[in-house]
Amino acid sequence: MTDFLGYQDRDSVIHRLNATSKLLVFLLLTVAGILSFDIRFLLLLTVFAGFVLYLSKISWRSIRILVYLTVVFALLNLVLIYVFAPQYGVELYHDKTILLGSGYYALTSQQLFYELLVLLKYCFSVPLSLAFLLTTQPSQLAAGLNRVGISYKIAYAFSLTLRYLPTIQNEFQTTKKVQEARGFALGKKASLGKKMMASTRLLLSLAFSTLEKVETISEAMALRRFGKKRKRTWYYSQKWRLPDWLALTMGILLLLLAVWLVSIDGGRFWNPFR
Amino acid sequence: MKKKGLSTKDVVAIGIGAAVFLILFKFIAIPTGIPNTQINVAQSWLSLLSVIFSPIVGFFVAIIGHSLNDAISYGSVWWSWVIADGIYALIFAVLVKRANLLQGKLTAFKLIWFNISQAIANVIAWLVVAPILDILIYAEPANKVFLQGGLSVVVNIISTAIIGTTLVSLYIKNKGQQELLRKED
Amino acid sequence: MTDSVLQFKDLSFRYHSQAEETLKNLNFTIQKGSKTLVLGPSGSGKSTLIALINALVTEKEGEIDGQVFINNEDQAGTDSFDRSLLVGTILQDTDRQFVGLTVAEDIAFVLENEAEAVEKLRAAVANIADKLGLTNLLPLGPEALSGGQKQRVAMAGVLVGNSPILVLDEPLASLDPQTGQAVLATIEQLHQDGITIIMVEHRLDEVLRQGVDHVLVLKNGELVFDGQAEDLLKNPRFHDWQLAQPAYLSLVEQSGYSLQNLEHIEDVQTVTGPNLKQQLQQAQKAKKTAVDKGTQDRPTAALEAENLTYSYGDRTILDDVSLTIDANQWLALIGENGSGKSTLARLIAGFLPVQQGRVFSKSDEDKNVTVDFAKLSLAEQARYVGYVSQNPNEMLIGLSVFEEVATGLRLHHVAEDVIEETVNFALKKANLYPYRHWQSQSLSFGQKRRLSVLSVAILEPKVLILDEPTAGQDDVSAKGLLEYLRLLQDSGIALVTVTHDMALIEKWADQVVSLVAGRLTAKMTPAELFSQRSLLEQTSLIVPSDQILLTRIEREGSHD
Repeated sequence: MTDFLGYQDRDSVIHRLNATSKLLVFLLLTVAGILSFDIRFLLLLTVFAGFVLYLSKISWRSIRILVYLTVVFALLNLVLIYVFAPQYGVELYHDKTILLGSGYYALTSQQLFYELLVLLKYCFSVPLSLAFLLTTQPSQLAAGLNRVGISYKIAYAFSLTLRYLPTIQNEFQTTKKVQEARGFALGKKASLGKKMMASTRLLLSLAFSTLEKVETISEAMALRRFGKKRKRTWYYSQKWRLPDWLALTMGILLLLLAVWLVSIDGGRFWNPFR
Repeated sequence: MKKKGLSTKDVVAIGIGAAVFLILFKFIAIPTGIPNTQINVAQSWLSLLSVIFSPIVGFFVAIIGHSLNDAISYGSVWWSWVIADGIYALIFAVLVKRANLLQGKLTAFKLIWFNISQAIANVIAWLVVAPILDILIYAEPANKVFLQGGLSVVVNIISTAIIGTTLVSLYIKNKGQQELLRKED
Repeated sequence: MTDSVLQFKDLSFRYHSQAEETLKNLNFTIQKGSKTLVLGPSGSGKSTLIALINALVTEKEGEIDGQVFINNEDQAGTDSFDRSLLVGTILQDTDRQFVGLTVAEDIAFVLENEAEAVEKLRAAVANIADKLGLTNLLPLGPEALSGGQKQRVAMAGVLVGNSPILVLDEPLASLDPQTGQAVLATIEQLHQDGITIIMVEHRLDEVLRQGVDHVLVLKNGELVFDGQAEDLLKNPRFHDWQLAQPAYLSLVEQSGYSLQNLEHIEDVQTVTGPNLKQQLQQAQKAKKTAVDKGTQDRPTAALEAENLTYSYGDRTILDDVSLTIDANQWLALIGENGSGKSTLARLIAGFLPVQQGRVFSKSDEDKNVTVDFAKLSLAEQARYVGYVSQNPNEMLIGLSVFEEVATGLRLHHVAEDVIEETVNFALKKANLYPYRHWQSQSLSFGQKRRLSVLSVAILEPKVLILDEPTAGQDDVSAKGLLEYLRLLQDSGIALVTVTHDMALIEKWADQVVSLVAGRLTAKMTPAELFSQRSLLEQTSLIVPSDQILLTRIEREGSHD
């Protein structure tokens, strides 16, 4: 499973929080961050998320590549926004201060400011979700999902996805090699049509073995009484402690702050150009 | 979603289905030549599941598979596209169920219906839901998101028409014979 | 009748989709606390029998005639939830039965579903884990466990629900012989604790080493035998039932000695009979002279691997391994789980990138040219070496049987009429010709295995590598596959089988090499392997029962 991020077993303040409270805080802050386009709030949130990631003792090495990729992706998105809507900032802030050039693609400080906001959205959401994902044991996460009101069946389906991901990945890799050996290449050299054909075959063999798995696994689960009762308990469910309540309070306060800023700014955008 | 209707088999189909969805999403990327636009093999998988299981199964496969892939591959979740994928599965499944693909012989009419359904679902998901959510959630400029959406619609419709249709028809052919075999066994 | 725990009374069953009954008028009683073995070839109705015991199959799936009693209570109308309180079931594939993310969670699964309080549930898990020696494994995930450990976790996960009856569907199917014995010992321990055991298993030889109380044999849905192991082994119709005879009894029978004269026939350690020793020794002498009829010429190499070293992370899996695969030979590659035998097979086949060392062969066109596989694409390499995975689903894609075989040729631009002729000829040899228009996914497991071998062998590679070719198949279908492989060998393909199937190694392979801790031992004959106890130990094999008998007879004086 080297291709994916996963839980990192460490001892930190963030690790010790229970999965339910972490999930709730994550959701609250995600909503707050999506809602607000107030640069003051987004800066605060970014600093906060960075601090949480620092506290979680995640090594830089393990997330380095991913961060680089995200930066590239974010910059690409910023360029795309500029290409398609170079005057969008002007529209948003009802003001136009030209910094460079002229005409449709003239660079304005309003556009720059807007694109900075979009960038900040990445800057808070990536550390925040990393701090959440890498410190939460998957079983506890499933238990936590159930705890916040998601049906236990869906929570367990989520747990099954994590459980069978490595199995299916291995099967996928072998199948791919087998097909390659028989001449169906997915590599760079193959033409578009060949690739389509090769991937259809790959998908077919995956489909059949998956459907067969669904049969036996659901039998195995039924034989151990899955779905018998309206609720279920979780071996990895955790107690609420003081830090959990504190974290939750902090999450709620930040969301309330975002809502309050929306009401005094008269909208989601805070306009410094007025 | 406190629904009683979800059977154990549905739960497993969601769980394993989402894992397959994620793997396809991550490991089969066929570039079309247009930057940032890839042929979506995972959507064909979603279409097959929607033919076999209830609409709610496809919906959750998309939601879990897509959001988990975003999370473990990029570290953050692009919610608007996750929801759009879920909506695709939901609308497509509701429409395609009317053709009863699994019962009786596979006719040309059924395959046409399959493709009309996927086209409608793709248009709604990528030209309506995704751009509007992008605007609401991320306040992105309208002409950018609608153009992106339009491109996705075209690529998705074509790839599902080719890969999805082949997959579903071969699945139905095999399944029909399996039942025949059981009778003979 | 007070101590009957399970009873079938005039029970017949027919699936709604089928015209004929799968089970026909079964009558039998299983005693409380006994250990029962259920035998029968594929398609005999064993799986349906289990499904009727644990109620995975009910009136919904088919028509049930007659009654099933558990603890003398008629079970009509109960569902699998009710039934699971009485019967714990362990499926054949324990990886699929493992649904938790960790051992602890998987054991707790049934109690979680009962919404048992968390403290109680954790205590129960700790308790059963201690009993089955799983305490240290509790926080681990399934990918960190061996097959035997998964089997024990599956048992714990069922026993934690306190079901008094334990049903096991082919518990040995994916285990090496040594682990198989360990699992059988655990089962025996549970049996001693008073749990009723019902076990379906093909590997009679290995099961008998730990003993059984009661044997049922099914054939075509009918109960053809209900009694003790001793009577089964002596039954003149034994071979009609297509069961795998224990190796030591085959030995005795082939020497011309009548099984009827044996005492303690079910136990290789104590079996005796008048003049048994003399008869066996005579037969062995005759065999030796027959075998010694000449050593062959020095074989040519079909493929060579040189100085392969492979590591995964910090772990060295293969350490400077060199291997020559001789043309026309059948080589068994053995080693315990995690010894690197699958890694070696995949490296040679080109499925894993070579890190250090090289794999090469003499060119087809010019014998003086060496072809280094590192320079070939996987498709080009397939001309030299074919790889058949353990799981036929990874090999087949749901086309018609003919097409599955033909695609490989088509991609190598063979003319269409030649393809038709070649494929049909091969299908006939593999007994798949009648199914040529079928979709591959509708074949039986054994047929799929043969088809996946064929789809690779059709390209006529010099070497064919097969991962556990006989795993999960009954005696008949395993033999069918092995006979087909023999045909391929005769046509000039060298075979490499990664395996821990004792019968395959002993009866079919020409040579054996073993991987022990990443290093390869010298090539030897199967007979040489089985005479080295320490090597058997290191490769997770056990001494074949015919060897046990011979050694014992040798050592003991003639006390008959």
